[in-house]
Amino acid sequence: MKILKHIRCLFILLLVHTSMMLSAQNKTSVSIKAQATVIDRSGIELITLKNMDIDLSMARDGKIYVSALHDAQAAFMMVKGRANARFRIKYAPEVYITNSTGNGTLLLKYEMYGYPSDNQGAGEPIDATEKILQMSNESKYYFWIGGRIDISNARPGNYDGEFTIEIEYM
Amino acid sequence: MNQTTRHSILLFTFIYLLAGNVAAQRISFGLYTADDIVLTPLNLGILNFNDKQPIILSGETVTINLTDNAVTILTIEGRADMDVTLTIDAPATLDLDVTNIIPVAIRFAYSNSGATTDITARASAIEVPAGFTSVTFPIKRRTSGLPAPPPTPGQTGYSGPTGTAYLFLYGTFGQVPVNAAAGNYTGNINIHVEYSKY
Repeated sequence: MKILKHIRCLFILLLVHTSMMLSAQNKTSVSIKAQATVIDRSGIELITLKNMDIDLSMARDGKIYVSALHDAQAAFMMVKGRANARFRIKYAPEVYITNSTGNGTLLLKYEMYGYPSDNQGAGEPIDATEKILQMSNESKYYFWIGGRIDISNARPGNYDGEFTIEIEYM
Repeated sequence: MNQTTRHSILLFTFIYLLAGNVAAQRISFGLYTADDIVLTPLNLGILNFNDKQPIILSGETVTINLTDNAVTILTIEGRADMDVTLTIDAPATLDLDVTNIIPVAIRFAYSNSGATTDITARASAIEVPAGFTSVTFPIKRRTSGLPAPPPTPGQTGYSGPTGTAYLFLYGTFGQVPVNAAAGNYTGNINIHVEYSKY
């Protein structure tokens, strides 16, 4: 008889344990993502250190090529910002430069190289499509801009154009 | 010798019975609630502070209020006559990485008025005071009168009336430190809901 009581008590304990396991499943959980994208307040300064110089003496078969990697005639720019910050860059790959007398235009196709220090020959090519780069420890990044231009049908005169570049922090 | 043995057996029996009586309350509530609570985010399941202020700069603080469109809304579907306990585990900061963290204070409100849309539910939402992480409420509150008798347990061929309560998440992000790194700061808000046990 006493053994039967023991068995009954053990059964109750087992039932309690089972019911607690069942109730543990009776719970719903959801995870919600909270997020905020912060934009850097400190600006990026773009400084033109040197313009691109092109003259007729550089022409070969009616075409001029200024190497951004090797030529001293390449334009030279510097970006100043926050040390080691990553930034996004893109630029217009070509531009029509206009004769200052208003007589015609020429198509200039840019090429661009960049490097975190002032070392033109060590630069890496930068496509016109978006690229991600990083400032140096000195908060700087350097660009050299060259290009190709066909002057075979160009009228005499001075031609001016712009180089459009967009830079923003990531 | 025989006397000693009899006393020991009686004592053990008493302890087991005591344990069984205490846990009997859990049996009666735990078994019939089953797993029929459904917690569903209505929007993307994201509380995005840029929805309130698209451009967030250093030094700024962004607050999403209960009335703002940027509020994150969830529904809690379950037995209308049952109480549920909602627990929110929210981070104190949103993080870009281990070194770049920005404080965040998550608030929440619930609506158990029996509203059928989140718009009408929000109008009658009850804000849980800041600092609280848990709240217990019936899926559908009584409008008046005495409490109803205990609900009929669900069983084969019978399931009790169901209802929908609404949960709203909002809060304050910042102040963004002056030297904060730019980027996407994130954190997870974990929400648990279960039928209350008394």
